[in-house]
Amino acid sequence: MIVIEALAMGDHGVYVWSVYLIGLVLLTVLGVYPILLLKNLKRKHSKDGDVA
Amino acid sequence: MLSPEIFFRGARVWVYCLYTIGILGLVAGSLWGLFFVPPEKFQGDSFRIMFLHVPAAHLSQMIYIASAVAGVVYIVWRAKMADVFMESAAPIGCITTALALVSGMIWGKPTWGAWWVWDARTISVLILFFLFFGQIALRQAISRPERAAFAVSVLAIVGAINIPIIKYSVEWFTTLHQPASITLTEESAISVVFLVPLLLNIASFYIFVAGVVLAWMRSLVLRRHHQTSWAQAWMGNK
Repeated sequence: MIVIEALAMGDHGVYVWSVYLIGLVLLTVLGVYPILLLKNLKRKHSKDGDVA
Repeated sequence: MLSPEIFFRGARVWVYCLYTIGILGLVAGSLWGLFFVPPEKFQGDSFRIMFLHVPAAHLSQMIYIASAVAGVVYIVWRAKMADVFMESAAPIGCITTALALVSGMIWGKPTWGAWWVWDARTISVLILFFLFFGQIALRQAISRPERAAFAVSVLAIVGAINIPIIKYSVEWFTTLHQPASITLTEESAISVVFLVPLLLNIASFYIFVAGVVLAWMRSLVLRRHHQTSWAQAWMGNK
């Protein structure tokens, strides 16, 4: 019951949780994308990919 | 000037340190704001959106200011790392501004009764989003890297005029958006109960995004210098 009330946040749960969900998604994209970019570049240019 | 190789090698440790501290701070600040702070007197629980909205909005403007400064550095000294910074800051600024806009829209519905209002603050932040987006588009549109860097620098510098407009829009115009609650010169209008987790999230947001900027810059440095001996050595080709 306490958990349900906490999630409901009065009538504002849908607003609050949607913002935090969107924030989580966007911040995850922000954090992960440059690391994946670096790994892909390394894979693309390593060994058989590129000639120095 | 900072060499790309020294930056690439030195920034790696910083990326992981900043990521770790930033993520831990964001988790702590968000949980604090969501579960351990009482509802606000007038807005109820919807004010908890503030703990993401304010850091995102604040950071977006700071990223743009840093981008404009990098633009000046590039035009005056032709520092390539300044251009690398601008190239990495544009998409990051785009995302943080989008988060500020979307969270503001969602907060606006229960508070103002509308998802969007065409007032000075919301419009000026929307322009900020388009300025970041414009930097990305401009760079893509110009094939010669030096010309693209110069054009993006000019856009970043000219667009900086929007920053004071964002800041003072709530004072110069009649807006639904509330005036600044936290200033350097006056006492905060927010109760300390709300202020502490908010400041924790703002600081953590800065730290995390600093890590993201460094990580993005590292990948751009590798892309631009992948044919150099140090880059080939790092990739295991030598």
